[in-house]
Amino acid sequence: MSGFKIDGYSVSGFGGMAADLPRVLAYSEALRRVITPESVIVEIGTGTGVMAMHACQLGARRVYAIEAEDGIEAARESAAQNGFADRIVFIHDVSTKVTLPEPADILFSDLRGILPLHNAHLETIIDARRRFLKPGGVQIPQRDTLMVAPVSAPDLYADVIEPWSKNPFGLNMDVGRRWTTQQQYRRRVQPEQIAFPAQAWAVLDYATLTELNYAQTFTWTAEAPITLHGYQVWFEAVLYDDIGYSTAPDQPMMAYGTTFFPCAEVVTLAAGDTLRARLRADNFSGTYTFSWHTQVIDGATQTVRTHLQQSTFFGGLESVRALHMRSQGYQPHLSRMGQIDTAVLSWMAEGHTLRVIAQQLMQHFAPEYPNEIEAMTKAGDMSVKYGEYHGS
Amino acid sequence: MAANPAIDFGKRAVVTLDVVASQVAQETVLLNLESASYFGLDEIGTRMWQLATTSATLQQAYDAFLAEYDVEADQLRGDFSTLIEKLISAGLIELQ
Repeated sequence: MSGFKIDGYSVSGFGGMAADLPRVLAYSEALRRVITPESVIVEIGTGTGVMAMHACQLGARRVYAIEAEDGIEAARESAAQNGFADRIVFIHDVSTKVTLPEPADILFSDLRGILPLHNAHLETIIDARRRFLKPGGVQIPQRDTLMVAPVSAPDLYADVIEPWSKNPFGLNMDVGRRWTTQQQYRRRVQPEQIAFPAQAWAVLDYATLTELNYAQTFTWTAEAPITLHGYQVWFEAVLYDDIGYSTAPDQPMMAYGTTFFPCAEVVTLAAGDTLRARLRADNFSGTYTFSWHTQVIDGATQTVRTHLQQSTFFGGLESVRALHMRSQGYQPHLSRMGQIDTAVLSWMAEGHTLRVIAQQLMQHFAPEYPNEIEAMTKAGDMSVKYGEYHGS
Repeated sequence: MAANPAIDFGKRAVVTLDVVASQVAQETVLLNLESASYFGLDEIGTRMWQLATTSATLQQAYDAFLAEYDVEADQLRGDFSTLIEKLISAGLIELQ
């Protein structure tokens, strides 16, 4: 398994998550239930370090607090200020590259995005469970259940498509609409806009899960005419035993938000019609692609009246040229920037200082790097991106 | 080009579950989520795809294409069969 880097929160983003009171209090209560004076804890994605420090307040003997982002430096300082520096070991790296000196009694994390199906979250938990946790150890959270419900939300739908359906010049902007309806939105409907009862899409039992991709087909039958605009997806979290929370539209707003997948066009059902929807989440190289199919089956004729298929794969505005350049048979040619990066990497590998590398840049790539400031900036960027810190 | 005898033009092409398609400029990109692979169709391939996946039979799709384009019937039958065969082997359609 390769190393994973969880998509970054900025320090202010960490602050937002840490200040999300219902979430933080639920995690606190879960920790309170399981921590003993002998507890060794590993936290993946410690962020500001607030929960690692709180685990110390609750009596943990040792906390290994892992964080890939630079925000960990603030966490380290906070721990020292609060007197926990001797009990928390901060590790600035992606967890899959980390080895701990002792197994943990408790593994806790919150690496979700809007949904638990987020970047390398599941792979990270699977790896951490296998390598960090004692047999019979406690995991927090224990389980997430993804829920889906079709929604009748004209206001929210208009918000998504209006930039493409309305313009002051009478232009046809349908192409943009095709892109914009193939994206995942962080939008929340009103509870009364839920058109059909929610159904479970997937249950993620973190103690046992091995699967990264989830597909499910759902059916709902209309009892009265109804207009649909998309699907709301949320999750119900169980942190430990009866402690948990939900991001459902009828629950207090949380930092995660809720997901809206818009339909490509407004879908109408008559009484007796059946809505058949299929949702898929596929993890391709650490990023989730979400796909949703919508079919309306006519109640009278039992034929498919509407068939929409959408995927976030097509929502990225990637050009045909870019897709061709990703195909298996394509033979790539280095661009000018590729030549520059290759040269800098080779100079780094030869062990030169940034000053020397900057001079080489000015000598070999003068049009791009006509002065020392620009050359040093480039050399520094490459150093941070590809270098390994060995002290000054 | 001779038509592939394995392709029965009396059958209907159905897009496989978990395949999504989107038109990008004049081309079509087909994504097979099960195999995590995608395929491109040029403008002509796009039209063949559209007709093949919306007609009651492959024969009807073939007839419609023949009426739309200036192409020899045998040449088209061969090209159309080859495309259908490729789409089947890539898991993008099934014949029913």
